[in-house]
Amino acid sequence: MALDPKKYREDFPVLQEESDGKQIVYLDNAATTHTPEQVLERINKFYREENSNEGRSLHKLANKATVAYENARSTVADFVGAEKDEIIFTRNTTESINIIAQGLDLDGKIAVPKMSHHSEQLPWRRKAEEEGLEVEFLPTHEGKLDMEAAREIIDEDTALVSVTHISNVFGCRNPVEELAEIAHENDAYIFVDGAQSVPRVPVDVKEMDIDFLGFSGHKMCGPTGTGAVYGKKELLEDMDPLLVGGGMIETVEEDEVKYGEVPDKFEAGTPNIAGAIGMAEAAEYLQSIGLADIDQHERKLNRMMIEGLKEISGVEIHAPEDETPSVVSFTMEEAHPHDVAEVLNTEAVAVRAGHHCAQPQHQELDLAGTVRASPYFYNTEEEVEEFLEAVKKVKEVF
Amino acid sequence: MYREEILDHSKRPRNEGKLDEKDAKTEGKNPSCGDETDIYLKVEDGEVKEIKHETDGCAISKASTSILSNRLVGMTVEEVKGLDREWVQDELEIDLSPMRIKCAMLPVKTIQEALKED
Repeated sequence: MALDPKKYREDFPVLQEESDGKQIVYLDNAATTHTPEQVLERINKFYREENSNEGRSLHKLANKATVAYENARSTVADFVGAEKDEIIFTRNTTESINIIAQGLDLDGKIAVPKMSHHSEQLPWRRKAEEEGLEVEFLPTHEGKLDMEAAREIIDEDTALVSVTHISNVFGCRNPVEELAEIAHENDAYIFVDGAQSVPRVPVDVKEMDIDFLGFSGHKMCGPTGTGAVYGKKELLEDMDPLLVGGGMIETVEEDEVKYGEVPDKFEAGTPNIAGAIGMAEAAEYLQSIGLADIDQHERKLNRMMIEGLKEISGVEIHAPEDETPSVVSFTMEEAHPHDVAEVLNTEAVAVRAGHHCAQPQHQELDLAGTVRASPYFYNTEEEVEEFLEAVKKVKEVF
Repeated sequence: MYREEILDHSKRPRNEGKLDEKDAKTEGKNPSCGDETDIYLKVEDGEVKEIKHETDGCAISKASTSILSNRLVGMTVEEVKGLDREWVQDELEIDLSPMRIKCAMLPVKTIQEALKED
């Protein structure tokens, strides 16, 4: 059954806010999503009733915190089809990727999509530079990962394939399963950047047979400063942590340090306990709605947006031709992307404009940037209409 | 924000072009907008005599560079070094959000950087 966004809108206090007397039309969900009451309340409950450090002290409150934190790990693991011990809590997808890039032993080339976000690209590029490895870009063809080129580039000299699951620029969905197969045939690891996919499509790391997956909490109705990285346990066990310090050791002697077990080894210092619990609450909230329905609803809105934008002269859409994208990026002949976004802002329509942290991709397309509208399950068809009206206003101003 | 003068300057930038090699050339970029400007600066006896520029970017960065390429002429190097956000905002007579002020500041930052090197 089709998802009814109005059922969920009242869960989101921010969506009730007005800007200069106008209801905000929030279409910047690829940047961050809003936080429902359920998540806010859960975080509130933690600080009011359970606040303590986790995994350390033995008193009653500490036990509550430890149980809540470890339950959060189980919930987030379930959300992506992983085992509990295969989930490391992080601050965001960026940190997730840095942890893996820092710790994974590679002896060969690294393949990264041209369309990848800087957060996916830079940790691997730095690793390559420091360790004398080669980076190869997987090219983009008409708004999609060029699979023909990928099949040629990924070979027995490849040690790691990094994949943008859903592009934050084009909204295309890259064939992760197929790439995992190609990577594994060549004895390479596969890392998946799930920042845009985990919040909106069903993701199962075992079904996809991937080695690593990074994602953020704040892009899936969780609090900012939360994220996670999945890694196959046997791979995580062989890796050194990015950070060292408290809470991650087995023994520390004057002349020797033994790190603790996975995943504790990767979570030095007091973690964002309330954040992790909030992120888990968000995962349960999304599951109660249903990821497949979320995806279907978003794509319905995006189809409407694309059809509407095609009617407006001077608009160019930057998306794959043969699939409905998860975000809608476009440019206008009359105005720079930031000026488009500014006019939309005066109409209380929130979008993102710029290079979306993917400069190499924009250089290749010779674009200063694009305007990006990214809906979520709480957006309505009426909001898409308002967005299209606001885009028409841009033509009046310029 | 897009009042007539701003739109006019963004569409028909004043002082567009280059100066001789011997005059200082400087480049500025605003990574958040992707604005880019090449500014040519003629300074004599500690005073700005002429400014030419080639600017590619959003309406605010283009208008700001165009408008200020007139207003900075006649100022001393020391005066230009002291210009800040408030001054730019007052000169442009528009309210700018924290992200857009960077676009408006592009010419000032670029010129200040060039004067630092002297």
